[in-house]
Amino acid sequence: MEKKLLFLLLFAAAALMPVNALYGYLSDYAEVKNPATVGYQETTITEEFPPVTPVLPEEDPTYPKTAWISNPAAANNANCDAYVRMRISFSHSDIAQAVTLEGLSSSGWIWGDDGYYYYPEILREGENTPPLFQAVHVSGDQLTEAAEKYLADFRLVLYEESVQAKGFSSYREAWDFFLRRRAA
Amino acid sequence: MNISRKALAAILCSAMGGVALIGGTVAYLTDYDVAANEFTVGKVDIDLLEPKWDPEEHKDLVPTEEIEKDPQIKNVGVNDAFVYLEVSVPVRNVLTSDKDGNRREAADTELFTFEAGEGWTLMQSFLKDGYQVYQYSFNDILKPQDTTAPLFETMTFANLIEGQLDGAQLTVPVRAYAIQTVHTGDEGSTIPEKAKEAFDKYMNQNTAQPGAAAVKA
Repeated sequence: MEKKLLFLLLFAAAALMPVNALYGYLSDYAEVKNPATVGYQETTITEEFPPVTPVLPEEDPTYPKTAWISNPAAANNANCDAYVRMRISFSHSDIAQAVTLEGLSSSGWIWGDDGYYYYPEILREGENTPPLFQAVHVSGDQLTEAAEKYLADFRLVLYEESVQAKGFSSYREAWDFFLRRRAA
Repeated sequence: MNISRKALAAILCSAMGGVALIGGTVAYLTDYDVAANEFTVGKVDIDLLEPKWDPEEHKDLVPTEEIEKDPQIKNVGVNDAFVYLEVSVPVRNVLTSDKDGNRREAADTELFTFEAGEGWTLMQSFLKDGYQVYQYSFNDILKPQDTTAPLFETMTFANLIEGQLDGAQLTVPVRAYAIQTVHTGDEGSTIPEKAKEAFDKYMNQNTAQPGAAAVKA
């Protein structure tokens, strides 16, 4: 009797319990936030031009000078691997006729017929290309008298460009894409 | 008055019997037994895994780069569960180009795209706080110790024009949710329908809690 009474009391209590108390569903959650850093492209020209004793043009001087492209390592490794190219120009075309850059053909760079020398390998972050040339030679007999007066202000100008290497199978493919996008 | 011995004995016996009878009328036949049934409370517990993700590989992201990212859920609890994945893709107003390098005008752009696998159903997608949020349910009940198929295997970075986000750190937050299958998805006839119903209950239960799912504004 007592057991029956106890059972009835318990049943009544359960029936009167708030409905919400019966619906605490078992659940769980988890999260990941994996960051990725957008890369960028930053390459620079580095050159070595040791001090020289100036020599008269008629003595056909050769001055040691090298230049190459660097792909500096970034603190956050965000500087991308790249394909690079370089263009050489002179401040005075008449003087340029008398100037020869030595070592061009053995540098590993490729002449592109568009005024640029292309380095065909991927330049990875922290690496340098080989020098594009080793020395500047002046042929005195090629200099006109009119051009000589501009010798003091004569400049050899180097210009470089780089494009990301990732996503391209060759330097040619990378540069074709870059040039199409620039023209658009 | 002489009471015979026999009579006295009879009286005494009656008295004793009466006493015995009184006492005997309240000594019901009884018995008892005890059944101590142990109940173990269930547990819904999940791990969110991305086994192919390598943090060292993603420090110099370039446009159109495909990155390996494969979110999947493992049931490490003791109960069957409906499971879900929520992916939030950052959106920025940027210049992009098409696959041939032709420039497009600046527009709100999801910085990453992905292709969901067949084992998942998209429940809803909406823009919230600079992210395009995608919420998927898994098409099967996830049993203990089982792992879902990845929601996707790779993500592709948008074809941004350079100089806009150089060096920026981007995140694609992925959240996983799970809820018991018992009495949460009773109405639907397919698992995706049941899972959707259960997800509504999950959201209601976890509003303003650490496990809250994103809600459309």
